[in-house]
Formats: sequence, structure tokens, C-alpha cells
Amino acid sequence: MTTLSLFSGPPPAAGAESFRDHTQRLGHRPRGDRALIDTLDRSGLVGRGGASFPVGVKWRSVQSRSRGAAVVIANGAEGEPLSRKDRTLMALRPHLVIDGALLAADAVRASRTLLYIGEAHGAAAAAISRALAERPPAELARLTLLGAPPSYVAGEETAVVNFVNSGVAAPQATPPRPFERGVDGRPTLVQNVESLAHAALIARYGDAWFQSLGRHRAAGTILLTVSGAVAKPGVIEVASGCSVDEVLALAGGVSGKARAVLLGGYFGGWIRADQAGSMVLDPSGLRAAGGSLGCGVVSVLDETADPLDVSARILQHLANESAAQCGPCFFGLRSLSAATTRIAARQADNGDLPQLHRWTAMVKGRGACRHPDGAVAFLQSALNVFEPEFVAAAGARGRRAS
Amino acid sequence: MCSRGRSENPFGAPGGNRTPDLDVRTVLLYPLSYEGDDPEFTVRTLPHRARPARYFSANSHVSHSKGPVEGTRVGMMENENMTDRRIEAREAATRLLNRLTAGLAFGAIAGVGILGTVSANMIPGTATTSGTTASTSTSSGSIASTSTGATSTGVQASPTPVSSASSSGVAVSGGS
Amino acid sequence: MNNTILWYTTRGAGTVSLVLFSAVVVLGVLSSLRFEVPSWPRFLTTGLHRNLALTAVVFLALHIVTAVVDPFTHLGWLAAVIPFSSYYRTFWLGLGVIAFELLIAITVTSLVRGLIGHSAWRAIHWLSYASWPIAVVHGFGTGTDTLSGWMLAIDVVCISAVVVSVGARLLLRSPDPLAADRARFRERVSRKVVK
Repeated sequence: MTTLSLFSGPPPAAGAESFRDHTQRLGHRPRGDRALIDTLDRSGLVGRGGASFPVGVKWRSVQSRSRGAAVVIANGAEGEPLSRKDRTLMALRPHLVIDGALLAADAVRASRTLLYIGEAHGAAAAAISRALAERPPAELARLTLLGAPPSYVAGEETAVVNFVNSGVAAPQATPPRPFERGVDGRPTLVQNVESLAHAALIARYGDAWFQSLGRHRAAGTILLTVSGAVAKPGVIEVASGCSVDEVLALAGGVSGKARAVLLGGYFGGWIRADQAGSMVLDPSGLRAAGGSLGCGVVSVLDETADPLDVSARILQHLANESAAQCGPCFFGLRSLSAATTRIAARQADNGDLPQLHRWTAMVKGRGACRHPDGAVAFLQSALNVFEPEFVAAAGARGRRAS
Repeated sequence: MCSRGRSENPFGAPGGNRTPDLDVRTVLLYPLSYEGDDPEFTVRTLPHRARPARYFSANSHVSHSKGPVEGTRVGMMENENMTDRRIEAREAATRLLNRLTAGLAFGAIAGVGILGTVSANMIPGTATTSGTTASTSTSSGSIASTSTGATSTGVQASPTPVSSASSSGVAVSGGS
Repeated sequence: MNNTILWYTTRGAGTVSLVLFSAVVVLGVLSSLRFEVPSWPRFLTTGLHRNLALTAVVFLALHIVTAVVDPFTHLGWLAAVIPFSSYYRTFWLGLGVIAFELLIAITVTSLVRGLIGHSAWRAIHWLSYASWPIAVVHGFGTGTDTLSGWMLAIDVVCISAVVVSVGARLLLRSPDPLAADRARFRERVSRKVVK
């Protein structure tokens, strides 16, 4: 069952909702203040950028350090290739995102608010630009639009801060974290655009309302990007707590026979189709169980696709996207990617598969940031779920490529 | 570095990517503990590269901003025994390390013995007085000749009285 | 007789320590140069550096202990830890104590590098560029054999080895295999000035 909240209002075909329609439908945005942070706590809203961290806690960590000069950055970089939800949200509901950013700026007492949007997301950037022009001048003066480079790591919060400070979106893992010292050394809130949009509605309707949208103990709605072997791939909004089966049904059902589902994106993991169906998509619940919804990617692999090939390509992409700031990531991911590619091509060396297992353990936790960890977690899920295929391919001696 | 349970979970985006992670990471460019010693790597282009993966189907809105394999040839060489040879090379190098260490340790022990003996054959006081010239053999030669080819015991017995006799600024208690 | 053996051992061990530590310094410099040939991978340099350093510490301990227990020297244990507290060759011996204590700091921090973090370890490790020359000067000053031909020869070899390797380190830019790729990445994620 589809529950709409962010995508309530005009249908997608109508394009971006104008400011007039937005205020007519939802009223003007309330003022953000400390009470809003408490409301967010109670609402159960967690971040939609990938880590599912409680939004209220995050805002409070910046607000408590803010001396009126904090910085808010709406993160619409969306560097995950399989995710489209952020750019779609910005293209269709730009004012929700802008409301959310301004509410956050009020609540944490920020003096600067930035909208960091992937420069490759043309429709989104255009919609936001036009939307900005529709806002009252007082609000427009507070907002700045920035183009995010189209790299995988460009949306990582320290990379965002580095981009604003130095013009280079390179991640870093050493302290301080942005909520302590970020842009210009000031406490900085980097929040995903979907999270901000939800906050914009919670500020109007309250935490109980948001809780009621979810199923069972889950709260609110979530945006998912469904792709792969489904009839109607695209971005959908569902109640948090839906099962994967329901989501796939909404996407028109699986075309063909599903083999596995990739959940969470390149930094996510594979699940076998027979186990995936009943999985409950509740970001808080998954996080509590040690998993993650990631950025809401649900991608279906069917029987005709080769899981090793797909996994190898993903790993290759992640390896190419390394910031080359440390050996374990740059060389480690390269080696892992090369070995996986060889196995996928059925031209593995004897040591490749054992080496995959060994190197995976060695790379984890050794990088200068979390990029290699995510890649390794993805690879591990592939090794688990597709173990028979890996073993068979690693032992295969196919015909050589010329 | 602590590896959070989360990152072991197949569903995970690594925990805390975006938010307060107060672990302090030691950033080592080439941590010595990392065994994967920038190995060379080989990548072969996938034989079925031209076929668009069904996975990323044409109707989906999902498009790769840049396909992982298109245009970016990450590979270099096509040597298939690379891996085995590398493993052997590493093991050979490790054996070499152990042999060198042991050899140098024994050499050091022998060195103490040899140098101790050599220095014992030099009467420290005399060596210093006649030491303005750097020729070892002449000084010990001259000592030997004055002592009429004394045996080692003879030489060894002499240091104390000789050094006390010499007033060349060498302290009585002798130095190393 | 016993005493003289102690004395010769002190001198022999001192010289051997000098040779070993000089090799350790050279290997340390070569490590930072990331020297590598097919038959000599990088981990060999650092591995040998570490192994030799620990070996050298043993011989240094031998040198110090035999010097202290030698009744001729009247040194006493305190003289080995408090610089410039001995009556015998106060200044030169004191230098030896200083070099020794710097070395303790370097060794201990290297053994617990995991606990103290990389930056702290690195900062203290730089002290090796102080410890080694001080040890050499200590050797010159206290050394009974200093002006003997063989000792001079050893000194010349050790000092040249260190000087040459440090010179190479200063002159050769340390190859950073990631430099090009990192630059490429940064170029890709940099803000375009044109708007």
C-alpha cells in the first residue's frame, strides 16, 4: 500500500511544485527552533543519506555547539549510481527541501545555508534554482546553491565540508567531525535532502503524524529507488515497515525470475531472492539489527544476469572512485576488483578466491575513511550470497579472451 | 581499528559514515601491518563487455553516470603466473630477512669478541700516545718489538701498568 | 683478568653497537625512500630495520652493563641513567647517556605504536637523528680506541653510510605511488572556477 507524504500533491508528470501551490497545499513553513528538535526526536526520523542516524540527535549536536554561526548543508549530491530518489525529490518537491534546510538553519542557529546538489542532476538543479527565485527575498538571501562533483564520495559529509572549505570534495576521517568544526571551522550540519523534506512536514504536522505513517513500529515514509528486473523501475514512496515483496509489487512486479536483491546500493549488500521478499524495510529497525537501508536502493537481479559480472562491475566502480588518499583503499580495492573481475570472466588464477577472502579482511578498517569498508562489505555480501557461483567460476577454466 | 559489527553485516552501509564517529583513526599511508604491499594487479576486460547487463535495463531511469568498465581500462598486463610468482617472491624475501637478521646477530656477537681481542692487543695508553698516526700495525708492531715479540699474555698483563705509567691524559680506569 | 674482559667487552660491544645502529639509521632512511627492487621488497627494508634495531639494543645493553659493573670504571648504575653524573669523562659519557635515553624513547614508542598513534610515534622517531650523532660523538670522546686505525676506519664507514643515505633522502624526492592518482581524483572533484 502506498502512503504518500513527500509526493502528496501534484503527480510527477506535473513537474516541480511551484511555491504558490506548495504554500497553498501545506501552508507557509513554521519557524524552526529547539522545540522542533525535540519533535524530531519523538518522530523517529532517521537520516536518509545512508547511515540512518537519528535526525534530532544530529541537529542537537550542532545546535549545542552553535553560537549563532553554524552552517547547514542540504546534501543532494547523490553519488550512488543506483539511487535516484534525491534528484527526483528535488526535481518534484524543491520547496520541501528548501523548507527543511531553512528549518534546520533556524533550529541550529546557522548563519549560512548551502544547497549542495550534484552538478550532473540537471533537472534537480534547475528545479531548485527556479524554486529559489520564487522564495521571499529574505529567505533567498540566506541560501547558496553549490554544484557537487559527480563522484561517489562527493556526498560523504567530510567531503562536502572539504569542498566548501577548499574546493576539493575529498573525504577525511580524522577529527574533527563536521558537527564540531566544519565549514570555516564552525559547527556544520550536513543532512540529506530527503531527511530535510521529511522534517519540513514534521514541523507542520508533528511527530505523532509521522509515526502514524509507518507500519507497526516503523515511522514515516521512505523513498526507494527500485531498479533492475522489475516492470516499472523508478522512485517510489512507501510506508516505512513495508516488505520488499510489497515494494516490488508496487514497481510492477519482478520481470522474470528473481535471483537476488541488492539492498542499499553499492555500499549495501546482496540478499537471496527467497529471503528478500519478507524483509521489512524499516531504516531504524534495520539499523538496530546491525544492518542498514542505506540510501534506499532496491535492485533486482534476475536469472539471466550474471551476479559475478554485476558484482565485479560494482566493485570496479568503487575502486575507481577511490580518493587515492591511502594505500589500503587505492591498492586494496584495485586488487580486490581485479581478482573479482578475473573470477567473473572465468579466468581466475588459483589464488584469486582465497585471496579475496584474505584481502577483504585486511582492507577493512585500514583506510583513511570508510570507503574501502563499504566496498569490502559489499564484496563480502556477494561472496556469501553467491558462494556457489564464485567457487564454480574460480575453478572454471574457460576460453581465454584474446 | 575496531571493526564495527555493522560492517560485517551484508546489508550494511558502513555504520556512522555520515555522522559523529568519534574513533580516532590512525592514518598511515603504508601501514606496515598491511600485508597487501601494493601488489601489481591484472585486469582483463570482460569478454562480454559489449552486452549491456540486463540488470541495468533500458527502461529503468537508472543510468550509470559512468560505467565501471567503459573507457576506463584499469588493467595493465596479462601475465597469468603473476600471483604465484609474487607469493614465492614474498616468501623468498621473508626467508632472506630471517637469514640476514640471524647472520648479523651472530656477526655482532663475533664482532664483540674480535674487536675486544683487537682492542686488547692494543695497549690503550700507548695506542693513544702514538695514535697521531693512524697506522695500527706500526703502533702495535712497535710495541711488540719493544717487548721482543711478547706473547699475548704478556701484552695483556701490561695494560694496567703501562696506562698508569703514561700520562697522556688517558684516565687510569681506562675507557672503551 | 676478569675486569679486563669486562673492559674489552665494553669497548667491543660499544663499537658493534655503533656499527649496528648506523646500519639501522641507514635502513630507516632507505625505508622512507621506499627503496625497492624485485629481489628486495619494501618490507625487507623495514623488517631488517626493526630486527637490527632490537639486536643493537641488546648489544648496547651489554656495553652499558659491562661498563657499569666494571670495577675500574667506578661508574655505578646512576651514571648510566643520569647524564653528566659520572666522574669519569663526565661530558663524553654524559652524551652517551643522553643518546641512550633518546633511544629508549624511540624503542618504546615503536613497540607501542598502536597505542600512541602514528603522529606521536613519528615525532619521537625523529629523535633518532639526534641520538645517533650524539652516540658517535660519545664514542669519539670516551673511546680508548678512537684514534686506532681500525676504529677510525669503522667510524669513517659508519658515518659515510649515514651521511650518504641522508643526503640521498634529502636530494631524492620520496616516490609516492599515489601522488598521480590522488591528483587525478582531486582534479575530478574540484570546484570549477568557471560558472
